[in-house]
Amino acid sequence: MLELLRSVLRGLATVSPVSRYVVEGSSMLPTFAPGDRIVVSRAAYLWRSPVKGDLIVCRHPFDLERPLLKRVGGVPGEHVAIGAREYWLQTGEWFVTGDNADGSSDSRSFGPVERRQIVGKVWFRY
Amino acid sequence: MSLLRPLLRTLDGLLPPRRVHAHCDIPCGIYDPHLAQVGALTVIRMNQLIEALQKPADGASKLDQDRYENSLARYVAVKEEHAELVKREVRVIWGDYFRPEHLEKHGNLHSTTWSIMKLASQARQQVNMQVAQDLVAEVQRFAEIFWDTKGVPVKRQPSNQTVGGELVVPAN
Repeated sequence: MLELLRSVLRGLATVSPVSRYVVEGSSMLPTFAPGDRIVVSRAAYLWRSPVKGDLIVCRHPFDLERPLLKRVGGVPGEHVAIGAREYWLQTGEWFVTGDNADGSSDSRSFGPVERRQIVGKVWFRY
Repeated sequence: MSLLRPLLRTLDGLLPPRRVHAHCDIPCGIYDPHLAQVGALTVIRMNQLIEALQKPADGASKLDQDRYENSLARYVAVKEEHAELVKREVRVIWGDYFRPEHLEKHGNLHSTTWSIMKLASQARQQVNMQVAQDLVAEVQRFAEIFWDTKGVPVKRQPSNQTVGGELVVPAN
């Protein structure tokens, strides 16, 4: 019975416009701590694009199975300078960073993420 | 929200939420291909142990058969685990550490990584010493590229383990 319920929930999760995640790691401290649970809206960017400051879940550009929790630090058309490195964001490219910059793998290492790699916007913590 | 929270927590109990990564893979930009090399050597060792394992003769006691099956299952499980460890470690360094300027100097970076992924998968699928040795060789090549991008000279030193083989390590 419980297995049936789980199967139904699993099915619903695939079509639901929201997803639940649990945070692993400390790159988003102090905003999110390891173990925090969040709800992410996958519908948030159907009619608009991510803007600077948005907290998002995106897929790692080199490992699409791996969802990352990041903050939008640059939007298409912008110029981002991090130390000696500079990025000109093209159409459809977003620069993402961790709030805890010293302990974060983000666009500084793997480059900008594309629109199709952005899963959704963090809605709330629970 | 006060009602939503317990509801979502109950839901989590039934169907756990996905994990979302918010970390650098090893704290604060520390990367090292050592674990990948140890993982690849372990794959060789498991092939050695599987090859050396004597199958009980027909009519052997149940205890002997159980011992054989238990050992084989353990060797296969460790082989699986360490081949996967190689893939994970290499994938993290490749994805998070290497940058376009590294690729300019080491045009074979992507093909080496790709080859490691393929060989590690084959090492899981098969009992094949040649594949295991090729995997070690490619991981060593990957380690040499990695340390070169850091301007660190390397040397090959004996693993000093039962498995034999060598490890690529910083020369100083």
